[in-house]
Amino acid sequence: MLLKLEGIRKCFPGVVALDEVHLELNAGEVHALIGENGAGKSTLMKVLSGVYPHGSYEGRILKNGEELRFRSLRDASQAGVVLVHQELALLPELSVLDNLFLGAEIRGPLGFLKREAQQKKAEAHLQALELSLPLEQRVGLLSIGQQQRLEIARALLHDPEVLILDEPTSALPEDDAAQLLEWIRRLARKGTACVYISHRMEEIFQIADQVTVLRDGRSVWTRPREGVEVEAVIAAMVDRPPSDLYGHQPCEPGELVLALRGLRVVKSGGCVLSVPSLELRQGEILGLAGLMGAGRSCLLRLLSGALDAGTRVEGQCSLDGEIWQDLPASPAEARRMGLFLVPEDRKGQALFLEESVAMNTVCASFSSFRRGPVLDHQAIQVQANELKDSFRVKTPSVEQQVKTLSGGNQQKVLMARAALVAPKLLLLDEPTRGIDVGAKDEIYRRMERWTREGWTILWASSELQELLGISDRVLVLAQGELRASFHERPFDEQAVMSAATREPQPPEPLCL
Amino acid sequence: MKLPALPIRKLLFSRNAFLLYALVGLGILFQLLTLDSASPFLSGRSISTVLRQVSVVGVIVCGMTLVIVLTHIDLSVGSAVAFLGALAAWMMAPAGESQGHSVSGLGWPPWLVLILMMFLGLLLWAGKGWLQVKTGMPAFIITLGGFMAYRGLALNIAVREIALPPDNLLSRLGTQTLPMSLGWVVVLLLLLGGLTRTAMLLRQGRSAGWSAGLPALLTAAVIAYLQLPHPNVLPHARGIAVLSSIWGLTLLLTYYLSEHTVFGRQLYATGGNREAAYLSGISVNRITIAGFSLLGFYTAVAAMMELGQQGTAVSGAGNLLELDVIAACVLGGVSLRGGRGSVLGATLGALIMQVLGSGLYQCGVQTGTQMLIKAVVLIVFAALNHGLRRD
Repeated sequence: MLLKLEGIRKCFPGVVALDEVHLELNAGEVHALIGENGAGKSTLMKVLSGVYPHGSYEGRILKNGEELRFRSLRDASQAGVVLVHQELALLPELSVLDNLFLGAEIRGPLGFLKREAQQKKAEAHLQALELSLPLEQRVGLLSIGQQQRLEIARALLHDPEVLILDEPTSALPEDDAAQLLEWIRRLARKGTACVYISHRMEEIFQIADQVTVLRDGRSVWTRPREGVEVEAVIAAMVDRPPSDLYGHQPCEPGELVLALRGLRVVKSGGCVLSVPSLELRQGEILGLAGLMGAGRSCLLRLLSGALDAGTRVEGQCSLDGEIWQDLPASPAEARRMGLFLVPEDRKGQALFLEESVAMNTVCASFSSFRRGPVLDHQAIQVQANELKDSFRVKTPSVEQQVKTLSGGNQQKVLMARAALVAPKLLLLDEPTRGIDVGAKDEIYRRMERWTREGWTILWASSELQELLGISDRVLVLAQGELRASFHERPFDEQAVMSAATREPQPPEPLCL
Repeated sequence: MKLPALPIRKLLFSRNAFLLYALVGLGILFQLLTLDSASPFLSGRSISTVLRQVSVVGVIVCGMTLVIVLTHIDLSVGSAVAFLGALAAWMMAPAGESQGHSVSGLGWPPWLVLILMMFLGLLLWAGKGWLQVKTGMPAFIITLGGFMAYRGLALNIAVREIALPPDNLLSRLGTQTLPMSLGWVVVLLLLLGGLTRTAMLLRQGRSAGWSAGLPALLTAAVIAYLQLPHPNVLPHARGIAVLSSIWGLTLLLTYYLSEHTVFGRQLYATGGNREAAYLSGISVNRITIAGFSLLGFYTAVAAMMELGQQGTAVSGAGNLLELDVIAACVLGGVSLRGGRGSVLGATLGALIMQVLGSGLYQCGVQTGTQMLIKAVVLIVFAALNHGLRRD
């Protein structure tokens, strides 16, 4: 055994991210780490690779019986543990050669670069890895698959003993991904211990020698891949004591609010989202399940009128069962159609951090506070105070800057903003991310209340349990496609997770 | 009725309060240094001069604040003052080579030229805003282009300096002071306005009311002081310059626009978080173009003020003015990252820079040394600003 993690425990303020995690890595093996969003996979790998220094976590990392204490990424890589990030960390304007030696340049006595030496070493290195890349090419011109390989080649430059790969195939088309997997497997055979993180069940079964399942920050079990069934992995990922903490009152769906048909989002040649049809009825809460990057945010943003540069959208929508029309072209237009989004990234996409709680509450509804061209500040104060009390935002006053509030209270401000807009269809993207249990509960109650008042809610959450607990219907997205829909409460958590992580089964051939 | 508590800490330790202390401190310092001279620094004459000299920068500062709040910047305002001034002077200069004038102009009436120039300013800057929005180019580059182009145009139009026709409307506005009676009316209005605003906010139970009326009351006090008879000041030069009152009006308008209109709040929202503003349904592009257009309008006003003050148009007018304007904004706490900073703060910044310049000049400090001292003050204040923001 090469490396052993013992009893790893890591806490963030208010959250235990990892607890009692055990992991054993062997040379020459690919060890797959699998778990839901937020199960603690990335946190664990950050502990292992020195991103979280020794002392910021409990437990021990042992190598041949000796404890390793990394203070930084650099420490870890000197000890032979290297992490390849999910996002590419290459400089697109520099050449392949420059990127390969970034931070590890070969220098002469006067500090000048020894380009010939680099060139030679690079050629030898790439050849050993059975990789052919044009060394002088600008990295930005390589395909994503080539970039991913370059990134791994860079990590392997110093012959690490442990290589951590965090979802290396997430941005790759399927056939390319298969080639990459094959390549990684061959690399591992040469004696590197590979930790492989992925959401895609098929991949794991294709590449792994060992499988470890993480759930809610704990390692559930580790087994050799031979003899493990997909169902067993999925069951271990989601198995929780059954509970209905949410007390959801199922609704009687009313009139048709919004229908979509033929929705397709095309980005740089590839289709990133495809929803053939979708119907939403008054008073229902429709949950979008899926892994990160499955297209949930893309769908919500699209309906809110926010289009990203470089994307093309096809498809039509119809409101209240009336004529088919184009999708909203801007958030302002979506507002007029009765659609409003509370985006997922609170600080980046939703809040005006320097402004007051009052301004953040009313900013999407200024026009209802104007008298002629002039804003009625008194009316704004009164309204903001009312909403502050109603949503129980904990702040000394509505003139307080919103950046001084906790995440939960900031989220309540955003919910108050939505309340003021009063859309027919409210779009919520991860409304409970990173907030405390009490605030979460208030947000669930608020959603229920809104639907009783006749609103419709389309929402996405990475916490499967709450999504299934609060929704009337659940749609599962994976790789931009609608994979399954569930109509009957209570939902089968394993079936939802299975639809989100597995390749679609080819349809049974018809017997004639 | 119970009044909201006096927020003493907030009142005494706010950013604007510190700027005010600095301003008053500098005033007293220069007063002590120039006590022996014929007109010490705090005499009516000197104050009146400072207020007149800062007017051109002050007007542009109002617009620049809005553009910087939008996370943009504008380097072309100084050159534009020269260009618009030269163009206006040429349009007003009499046609033909008569009356010994060296330049043959169009002989258009001043009021028409005035309106044309403001329209032109608005249009040019709307174009820049449009270009920024459409291409996503940094405003730095676009306005760097403007910086060169306008100076080039000014050089072409005013090959030699163009004098305004005698007794022109612009020169009268540029050199005269407000009539005594009108001055007192302004004082009265400011007093009334300031007090009403304070009373109104306090009645709504908002502690911000205590400080809300202060700027108006302080301004009223200064104008009243200038209206009184002073030694060394001729009776007809008493009171506040027309230029200063135009600046004051611009300030009032901009303050009102930024704090009390939908446009203003949407502008701060756009600067503070463009993405969030967009998702909230704010037309961020329209707001950006409007912000630039307003700066263009103000720049045209400033150009006419400068022309009126000087009486002649020269191609070198407004040289490096843009840097004075940006320095004033930064000094006044307008964040270059956008979304933060008020037009009042920026105005205080402009006043500090002007007082520093005039004071050092009166003390006989050389121009080079003046710039060095100004640079140190700017950097120290900016550093303090960033330090204050930490808390």
